[in-house]
Amino acid sequence: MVKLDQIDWCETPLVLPTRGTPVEEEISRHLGFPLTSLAYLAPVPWVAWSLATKIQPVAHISNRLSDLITLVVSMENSCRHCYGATRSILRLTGYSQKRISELEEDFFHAKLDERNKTVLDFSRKCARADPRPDAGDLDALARVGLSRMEVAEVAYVATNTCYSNRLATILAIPPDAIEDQDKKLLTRLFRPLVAIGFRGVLNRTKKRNIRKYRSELENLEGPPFGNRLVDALRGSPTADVLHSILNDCWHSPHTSKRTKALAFAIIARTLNCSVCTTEANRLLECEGLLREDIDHLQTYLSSDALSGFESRFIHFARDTVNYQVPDIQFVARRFLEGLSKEETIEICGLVALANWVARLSIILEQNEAA
Amino acid sequence: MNAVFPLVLAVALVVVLAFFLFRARRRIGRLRAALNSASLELQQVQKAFHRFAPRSVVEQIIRQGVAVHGERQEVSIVFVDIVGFTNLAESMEAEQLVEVLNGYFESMSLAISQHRGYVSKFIGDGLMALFGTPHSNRWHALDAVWAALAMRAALKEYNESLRRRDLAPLEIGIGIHCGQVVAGVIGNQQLMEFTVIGDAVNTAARIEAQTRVHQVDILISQAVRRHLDDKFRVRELPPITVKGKREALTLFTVEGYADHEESGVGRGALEA
Repeated sequence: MVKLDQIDWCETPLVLPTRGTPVEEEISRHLGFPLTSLAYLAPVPWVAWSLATKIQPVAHISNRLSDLITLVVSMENSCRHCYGATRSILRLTGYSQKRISELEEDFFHAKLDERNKTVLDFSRKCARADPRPDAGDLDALARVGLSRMEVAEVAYVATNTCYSNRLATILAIPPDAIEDQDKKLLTRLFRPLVAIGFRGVLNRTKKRNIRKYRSELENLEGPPFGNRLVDALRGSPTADVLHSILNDCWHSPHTSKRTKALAFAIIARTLNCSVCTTEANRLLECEGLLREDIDHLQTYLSSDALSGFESRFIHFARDTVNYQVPDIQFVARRFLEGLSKEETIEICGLVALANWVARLSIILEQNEAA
Repeated sequence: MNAVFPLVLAVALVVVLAFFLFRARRRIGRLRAALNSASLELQQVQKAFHRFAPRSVVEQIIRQGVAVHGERQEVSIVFVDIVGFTNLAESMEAEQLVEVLNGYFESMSLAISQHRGYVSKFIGDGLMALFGTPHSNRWHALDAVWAALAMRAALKEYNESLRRRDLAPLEIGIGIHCGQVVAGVIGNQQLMEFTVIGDAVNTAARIEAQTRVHQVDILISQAVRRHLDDKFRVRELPPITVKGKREALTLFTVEGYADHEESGVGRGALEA
């Protein structure tokens, strides 16, 4: 894992920020503190709102553990933006510099109990495409005493962080201004008080997140994709969040539904997720692709039924599964050149979401084993 | 007097203790800085190594030493060689030859990495590339053939630049085969590398050698052919027997990909 100052990060973001939009203001109010990165996502509301769920609406694992998972996964993915922001949030909530450094050096040797070490090891594996976590890793979590819902929330937080990491990395979003907050003289002088206050803010945001997604879903049908995953998360507020994000992504107008189905299908196939591949193939059929076209596409990565853009898109989607930061930022620039700001943001959100869902499907294996 | 002496002794003791404490703290500080710097260096090495071996292998090496076991994997192996290199070497100054070779390796390596391949080793004027390891890839054979087509296009471009400098163009032979290999860290205590071994590797090398016999630049085996759809324009060649193989091999030469230009497909958005 690389440290913050070792990450190669493109200095020019893929899209320019759109400041002062109602969406940005509303999300800032909802969060209770400003995030400068929102301006880069605001033109596509579902993507901007998804960033607010970084304050994880978990009910079965502690906020502390959720923060540590975010730190370890962001380090694993070498996401300069998320890693820096998470580090600052940990500092603002009272973590000492020494403690953070210990975790950064090697959490296996940090002063953590066996349970937390196993959770962090599992989270790091969730971030990897090769090899993905398996039944053995789920057993290890059960052995250290995690319940089914705790495992589901750990996997949710780890893979949600993978989502934010991909989004921020592909768009090359610059470090958030929250990093400066931690360096301010007043923060340094009154750190214990700031920690108490900031923890309060985060707790209130978490509760607002839970309320918002629960009430939003009352009138919604199930999403066309990821229903089994949402069901596996039932009993945790995270189910409502995933449900809502999938729905909002599907109904957003900036990319076609067929492109969305292609992203889910190709990324699930690349990650060897059979459940998501089957669901995504069904979506592709609904979008007019014949069974034989889908089989041909999954086997040979090409189909006469695809447009030129779609043919190039499937290769871009593959590239977002396993990458080096400078390479994916270069690839994204070449592929997304000429698209509108909204299309660019939505495509980045889409491939990040497809990665999130396919990686989270590990919890379905747990349910099947049970 | 009796009361002052213990006081002076106590103060002296405190001063001496404070001195040693200060020295110890300074030493600890220096050691910590040295440790941090060593850790930083190690992390950089680890980060660099992740590009050449699977993360799980790197972590296993870090935790358990280099005695790691090999793993059976299905991969595609690509051998690339310059045709008539001996003549070329004789007709050029040493410095110029190295410059031409470096430029050639640069453009071939780029075409390979852009198609998710990994250059395992340079062998004189040739190279061996792997697809499907260190990172598993179910479309390894497709990526390998797309990479070969991209190498053909890249060489055309490179030859253009050589021609402008009045240098002779290069010709290459590419042989591709896929099959089971054992992947792992192989070598001795002084020199180790992450590579693959197995019959499939030897077969790929033999196929590459056949490019000279058939006077074509890209040759693939029947096993690779099975992974390609009919968008690839391939031509079957008469079966041949190669060294180390009892059965005759059916080889195919790849002429192009559908109606696209050779370099443009399969590359995703990553273009040179």
